[in-house]
Amino acid sequence: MTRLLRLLATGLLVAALPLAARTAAPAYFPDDPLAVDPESRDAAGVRERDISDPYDFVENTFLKKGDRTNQRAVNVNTIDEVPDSSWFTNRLGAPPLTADDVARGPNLTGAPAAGPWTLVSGKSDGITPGFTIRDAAGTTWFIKFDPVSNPEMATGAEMISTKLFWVLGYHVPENYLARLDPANLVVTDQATIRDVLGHKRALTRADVDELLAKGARRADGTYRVIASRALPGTPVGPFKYFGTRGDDPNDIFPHEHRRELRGLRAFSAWLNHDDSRSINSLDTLVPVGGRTVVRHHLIDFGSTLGSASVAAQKPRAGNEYIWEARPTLLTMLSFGFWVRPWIKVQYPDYPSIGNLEAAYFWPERWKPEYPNAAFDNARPDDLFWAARRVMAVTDEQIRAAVASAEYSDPGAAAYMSDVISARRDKIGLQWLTGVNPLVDFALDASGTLTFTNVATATRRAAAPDGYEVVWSTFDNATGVAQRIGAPVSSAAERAQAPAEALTGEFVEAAVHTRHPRFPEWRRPVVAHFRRHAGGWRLVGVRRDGLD
Amino acid sequence: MRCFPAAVVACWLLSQSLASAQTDPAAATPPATRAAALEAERAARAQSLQAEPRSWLERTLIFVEDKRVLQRLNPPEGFYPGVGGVTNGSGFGIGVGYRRRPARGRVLLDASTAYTYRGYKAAQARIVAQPLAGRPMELSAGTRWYDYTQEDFFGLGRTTSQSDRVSYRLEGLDTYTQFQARKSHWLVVRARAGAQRLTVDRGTDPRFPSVEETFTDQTAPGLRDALTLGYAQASAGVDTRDQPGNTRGGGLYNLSFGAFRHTRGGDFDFNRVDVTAFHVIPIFDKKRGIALHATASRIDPVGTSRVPFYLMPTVGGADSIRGFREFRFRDAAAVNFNVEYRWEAFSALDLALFVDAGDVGPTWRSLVGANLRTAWGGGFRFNTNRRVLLRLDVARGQEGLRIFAVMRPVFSR
Repeated sequence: MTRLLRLLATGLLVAALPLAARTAAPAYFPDDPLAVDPESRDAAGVRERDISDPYDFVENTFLKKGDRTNQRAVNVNTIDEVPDSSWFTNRLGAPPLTADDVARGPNLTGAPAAGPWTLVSGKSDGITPGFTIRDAAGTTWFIKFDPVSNPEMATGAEMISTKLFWVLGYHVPENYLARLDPANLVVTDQATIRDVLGHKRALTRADVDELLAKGARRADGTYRVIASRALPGTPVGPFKYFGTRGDDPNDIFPHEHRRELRGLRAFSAWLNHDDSRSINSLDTLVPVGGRTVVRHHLIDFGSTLGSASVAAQKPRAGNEYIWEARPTLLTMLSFGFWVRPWIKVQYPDYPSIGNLEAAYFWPERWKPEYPNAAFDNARPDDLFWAARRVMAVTDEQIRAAVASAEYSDPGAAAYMSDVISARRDKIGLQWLTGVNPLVDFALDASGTLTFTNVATATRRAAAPDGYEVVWSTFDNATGVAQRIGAPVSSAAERAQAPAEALTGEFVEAAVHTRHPRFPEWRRPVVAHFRRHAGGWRLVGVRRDGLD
Repeated sequence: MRCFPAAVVACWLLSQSLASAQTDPAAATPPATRAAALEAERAARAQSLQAEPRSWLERTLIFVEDKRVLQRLNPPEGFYPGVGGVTNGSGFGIGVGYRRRPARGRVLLDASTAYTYRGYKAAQARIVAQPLAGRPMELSAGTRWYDYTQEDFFGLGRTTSQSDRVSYRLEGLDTYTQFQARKSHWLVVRARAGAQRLTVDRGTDPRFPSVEETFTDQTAPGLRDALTLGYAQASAGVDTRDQPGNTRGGGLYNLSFGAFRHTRGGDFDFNRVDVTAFHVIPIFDKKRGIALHATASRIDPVGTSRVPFYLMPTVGGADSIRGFREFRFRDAAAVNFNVEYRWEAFSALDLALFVDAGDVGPTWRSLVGANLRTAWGGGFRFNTNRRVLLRLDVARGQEGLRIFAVMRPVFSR
């Protein structure tokens, strides 16, 4: 299969050659690496669309939609990173986020204004009941409750996951913990509700009481709720995890080959976001720099961590797809006495947490509710990228996110922080070690190469036996590297370039890592540097051997 | 062609070479920057924007969701369709109903009709008030007319032969009032009183003779009489089932007593006792379990009265001994035992293996120590967590193989 792909790639290049001969394009452009995807086209023509949730299940489970070829993520820049875009914003890094940054997360405008809440509509169908209200300042909010059985659970999960998905780089709604006082609700003639047949009618106080009865009520008669601010812009429906949106001119990268969607597999595993499917995403049209672009959001985190929104998370969640042939057949043929191993998992008794643990959890085994083309396409380099971000989230930042959930039980809060940290460490253990884990390449003016082994730096692996660096000159016009001398061995995370390698505009360093436990680290990470202002600037990073 | 950096340049070149065949040659000018390369690709894409085509299945599912088709199949108010049978062995049928819930939902007014492919017909109307005085009590009244055109009868007693099978038509009108109350979530008491008008006529199943061609009023009591019976029934039960529509734990124990009185002459006065015990024992968890089910029914004529053959207890069929036809054996007393091992294959499918046994006789005592009729088999239950949507059972008994497709859980009737 790999050979076939190489043949195809060769054919692709040959097909392009006639034009290349006339319009020779360099391997690196002057503006590489791009930090921001320009998304230059106006997308005002994008129209709202619906996605059928059952069909999403069918096509992802049985039809295997999306391109499944093993290829590098197509939206990464030349240094193997994801540029900022309408999908993603690099937030972890320099300057580092403080605990206050995490606690604030996406919340820029403030919680619902004090004063009466005027009901706009009620939501009686769907999994979770809720309201749409307008606060005293005229801002629209979506209100969601905790289930009666698990006070603080769904709202807590929503708060924590909102913060952490924001930290990781996604666009998420502003979600606030708020206190709903039934006496503070104003039912006007304009408020509506849809009955089970979809007919819109006036919302009555009895409807309000009926909806409130489905939420966990506090002793003082109030309700702890999530107030979710309406996303900026015009909603145009969810995105899919494969293909592109046909009417969006900026959407040129198939979603199943976008790194931030492939890497979402690792983030979802970390936070047990088993509901990571189209229905929990939302695209909106927003003005940016005088044009309209589609911004892609993750929404609705009520079914993350130990919560399934209306009850504690089922043990199956994160462990098995809704439909999976092998365990089904095993169960059928064994008359039910083949027991799915996750059935035996024990969860602590924290109603405000639900069912979440870190002892049985193993990132590679984790699964969402049903297959996801982007998750299925995630390669070791995608998961490595994601694991770096997960591991970059500190215990302090995790505690800040958990504190935003305002659990009344300190034991539950401590447990939640510990479990998220432990799951984070397992993500690192699994996916930071899946490729040669070298990052942060730099070449100083004297030709000293430095880099970081992130697996050892985060103590996910013991120190390697050493490194080998192969130096080459690099012709940007042809993309051909010319090797210089023998490989240079180094015990440390640094190596000196031979003088003849530093004579051109570009230099290439291919670094192999020798580690007895991780033979795949022998595959080199290839770094390209371009001469820049008297020194060298990193313009390319490639992890070889994954195609 | 879509790509970003690394793989990239070749992809861009190819996309340009393909595009240049159709566009201005000047457009083939190489981009000077990565941003320009991406812009060129987006400009090309902007020439051919279109909403994604939808498959017929997606369009259908969106229609079903938008129009709330599933909710319309069982709306809280208004017209609704009906599917399924009207009684055991009636065959698949369709129908239509209409319901209203006045008094802020505390009263249900419901009327419906049904017709099956075997010509069975039924119509009913009822009014249900609940809760009463804010308590879990229910008062209802209603009337039900039915016309079962092809009921099977093999004669009375345990020694009847399949070759004795005849067909008869039973038309009835049942008018009743019922009170039901629940206490402590698990104790259920019920009282019911009403009148039934019952008429037997020629069966319409062309494969078998009609009942009057083979049986007489002596061998099939009630054959020649149109009866009007007044009745009163009382029952008490313990219901600890976790989910009545798809029980995975708990049980239902019920004792019912009924007195039926012939309104003219007392020729058909009798009493009836029914005992039901059903329990599901989960094994390790509710992913597998053993369902135990037993019923015992007895009918006692008052004095010299007789009991209409079509009201006698029966065994055989989808909720009884599944290796036999519906109503295969009839007599004044019947017992029925079922053991079913069930296990969940995945969240929408359970499998089952079962053994059934039972028989009929003139008295319960006559069944003690008798060689019971038996059957065994297996089945599939397509379900949601709370409801069995379709049950397929295949069973083998002394009279061959039987297949049942039923849209309700086992032992629910």
